[in-house]
Amino acid sequence: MKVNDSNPYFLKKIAPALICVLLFLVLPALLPGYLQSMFTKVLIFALFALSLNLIWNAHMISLGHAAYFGLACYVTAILSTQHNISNFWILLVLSIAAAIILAMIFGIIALRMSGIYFLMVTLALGQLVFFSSLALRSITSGMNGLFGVPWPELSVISIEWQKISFYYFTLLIFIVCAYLLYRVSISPFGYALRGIAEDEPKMKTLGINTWLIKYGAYIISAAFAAVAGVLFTFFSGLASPLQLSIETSTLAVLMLIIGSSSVFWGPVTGAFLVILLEYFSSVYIAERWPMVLGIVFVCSVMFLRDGISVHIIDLWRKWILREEKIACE
Amino acid sequence: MVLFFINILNGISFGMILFLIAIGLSITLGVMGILNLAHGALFMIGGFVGYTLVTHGVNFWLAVLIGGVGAGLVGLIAERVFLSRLYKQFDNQVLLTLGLVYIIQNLSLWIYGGAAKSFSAPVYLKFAVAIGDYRFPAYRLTLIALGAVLLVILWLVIERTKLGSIVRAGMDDKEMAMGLGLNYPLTCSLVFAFGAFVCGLAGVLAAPIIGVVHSMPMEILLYAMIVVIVGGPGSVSGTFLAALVIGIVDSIGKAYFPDFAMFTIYIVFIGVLLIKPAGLMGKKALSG
Amino acid sequence: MTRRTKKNGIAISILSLFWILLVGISFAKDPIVIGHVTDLTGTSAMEGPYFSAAIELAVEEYGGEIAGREIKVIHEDGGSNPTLSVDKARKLVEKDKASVIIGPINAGAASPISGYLKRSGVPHVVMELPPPLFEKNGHVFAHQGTQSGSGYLMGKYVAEDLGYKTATVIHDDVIFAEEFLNGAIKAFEEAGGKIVQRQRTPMNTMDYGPYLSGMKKADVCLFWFVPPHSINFIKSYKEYGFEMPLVLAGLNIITNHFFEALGKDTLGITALSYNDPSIDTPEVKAWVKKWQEKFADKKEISHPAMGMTCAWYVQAKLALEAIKATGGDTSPDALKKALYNMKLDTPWGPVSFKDNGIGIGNAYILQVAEIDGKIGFKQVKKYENIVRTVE
Repeated sequence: MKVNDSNPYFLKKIAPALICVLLFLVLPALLPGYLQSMFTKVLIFALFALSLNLIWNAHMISLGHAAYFGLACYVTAILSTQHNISNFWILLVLSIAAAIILAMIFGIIALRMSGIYFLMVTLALGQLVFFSSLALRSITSGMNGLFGVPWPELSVISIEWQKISFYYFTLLIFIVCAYLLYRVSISPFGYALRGIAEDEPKMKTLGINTWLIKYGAYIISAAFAAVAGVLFTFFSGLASPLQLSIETSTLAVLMLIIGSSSVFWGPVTGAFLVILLEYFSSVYIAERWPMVLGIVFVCSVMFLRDGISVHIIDLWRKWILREEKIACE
Repeated sequence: MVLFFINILNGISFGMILFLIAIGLSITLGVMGILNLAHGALFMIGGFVGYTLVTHGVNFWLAVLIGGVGAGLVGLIAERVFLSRLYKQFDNQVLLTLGLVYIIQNLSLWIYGGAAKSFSAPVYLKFAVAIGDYRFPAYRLTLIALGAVLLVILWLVIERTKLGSIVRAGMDDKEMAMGLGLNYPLTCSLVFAFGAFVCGLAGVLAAPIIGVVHSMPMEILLYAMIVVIVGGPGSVSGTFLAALVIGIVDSIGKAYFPDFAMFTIYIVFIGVLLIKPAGLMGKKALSG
Repeated sequence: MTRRTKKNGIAISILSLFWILLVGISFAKDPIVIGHVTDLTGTSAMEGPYFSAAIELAVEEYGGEIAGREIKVIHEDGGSNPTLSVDKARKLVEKDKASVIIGPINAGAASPISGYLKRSGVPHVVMELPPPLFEKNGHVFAHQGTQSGSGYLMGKYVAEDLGYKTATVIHDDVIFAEEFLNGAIKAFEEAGGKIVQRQRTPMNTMDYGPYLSGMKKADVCLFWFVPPHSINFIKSYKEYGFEMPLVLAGLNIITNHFFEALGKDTLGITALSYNDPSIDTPEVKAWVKKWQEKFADKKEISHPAMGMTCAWYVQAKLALEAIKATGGDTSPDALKKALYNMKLDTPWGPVSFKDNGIGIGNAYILQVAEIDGKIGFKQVKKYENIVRTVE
């Protein structure tokens, strides 16, 4: 398949990078406070969705991932409001550790099955964690959740936190994590994972311990979801059962699917779209916005198969790069 | 001792409702491999239809049937228009059915408002039967009887009729079933609609005990999924057994270990998963 | 389709820029902005429309303006979701320049909003909140005080006025129910009563059968559940043939919906309310009539239906009277001072605040009875000028 490759390097590599810089570095600084918050939220949930994407493509559809996100929220909130630990790095490490331990336990249970059944099991396990947070009301303050989480201390530099500086901090953490996830996906481990997704029996005959790889991927995914959770707790100053609920799990899944699970940065687009949509439709059509959301999702399944990022790439190729239409997979 | 028996009865009556909710999901999952996350919404639709009818004076049992039909219709439309095109595309099935839940939930909120709706069982069933020192509501006994009847009917249909054998054949080997010239897609639609119908029936039958409210769909879905996994998808007897076990465990848990009440179901769930992942009566390893 | 999606993205960006421009332009006029965080889509969606309507009714009494400045009320849906609610509160304060925030009903969302508002000192006028949020000279004003307060009063009434000696307790395993019943139990035991059993039912309980089977006999049953659960509970309670009187030991959530849904099953239930449309005084009756006339054409809210509607009206009046008292000065300090010095006359009696923002006012004990063939509340006792918390 010969592609018209006379496009200058600029268009292929620099232009997309420039758009990202403009969108994520420059634009937020120009927006009013509450819209800046929206960008922070987008990044946090994009990270959450990215972590989910790692295992999604291996047919491990987790509808209970909010358990790790929310667990990190609670660990951070409890330690910072009740035990006076406000060092960001310590809280990050502890939250990730908690999520990893939980993932190790849940992974054993959930990986007894795959596909649809994996989904159902993860959903049930997620609910288990949700109800636990309500039951342990002496620690978690039950339905009310915990609030009053102070800004984190960085110990490397001391910062006067504001919404905008926190946004750039989140962006930094996001870029680091996204890069790490990217490296994982293109590493031998990542390829093995994809191989398992395509043909697990074959991978087994090649002598690869497929269970171990899936297990490892699940745990890694939980760890990154926890990072998103920690960021969220500082961003919103609270931790509530909602962060452990089906709503949060499904929100991440929806961002993933609508943004394209087959493109690495798909979840980012998905997060952008969903959060913007949620906010603006809530302001303008307040009572009916869940319905609008539902209609958008149904329509995107029927008409925008494979998610929006795939179509964006398509358009980019067609219009900007003027590539010939390639007949491929 | 009598109290223990009463709690068992509580468990069985709750289990019957669970059976009705879960059977539709079990069949569509086991037979068609479709994950319908809107299953709980179908339950709610049945409940709301029943509510509208009963509060306008329609006979209770007629309302049960019509509630079921209402849910069945919605299920049929969902399958024909949307789900049939998404064979084996889990991503899209999840997104679509979740989107439907959002829509149905908000629609219910719009039409019926946010308050939980409730209506009563027929007047002639509103009494309590004396058992020892305790009383047990007659309506719940009726539910137990109904559940057993439906179990027998379903089992007969699946094991003894032509329709049932088509369904079973498709479950084992879909391509072969289609190759034999059976109108599989049509059968699928009917099976799906039937599962939705039964779920809608459950919605009306359960309403006198648990009411109907717009926030129900996901709670109900969760119960259904646990029962289906514990029982083994595709198996009528498995679903029934699982529903009873879960209902009884839940009731006993609430009565004797109140602080852990919400966890008892999960303990059973996780236990079954670890020991026998295919479910109590499941036939094959569960991989979607 | 994708082209359309791209166009949508551009449209949204343009909209955002327009907003920024509008904010700048709005510096010309300077209306009084009251921010209202409500719930139109979440767990309290049923009450949402009433709250907005109650505020509207209050605003009308001022002719739409105070001290020459137009009154603007902006309602935002927080969906009982803490993060979304805080986002909306932030928007109301930063973009819409709200001088006071009313609501939301959900404590899990109200608490973080209070936390956010603390920084700017913008007064937060709510119905009731948990104790830790109240500070001396703080910015939080809860005219119905703390949750344990209403429970405490009810417990006292049950033990002293009704003379019951033993009680079985059952409630939702959720923090505000816990608070309500803690207050009730404290008062009951202080008066010499004995609690024979306390059952906490998980929030995902649908079938109360097992709990009812195991319920011990006592003089009275003290309960509190969120409205949908309460309906299920009361119905099952009657089906199991219990005869112990039912007492709602916390915020009154029984409304016309309950009477419609449960009919005679509700007869005899005792409840406590600080503000309720069913209280039988000429002032309240007149207020209800005013409501019905204004909202006659809106079928769902044509009757105020519940105590919370009245509470929201009171909250709006508190905010508006405070602004009137300062002569239109909407700076945080002036408003706070006005609120602390406030003595507002409401149809349910006078309302004022302690030095930490907890409300002082009347309380009414109500009982469900059949009046002229219709089921409704009748008032059995009135407490005057009590501090609405457990002291």
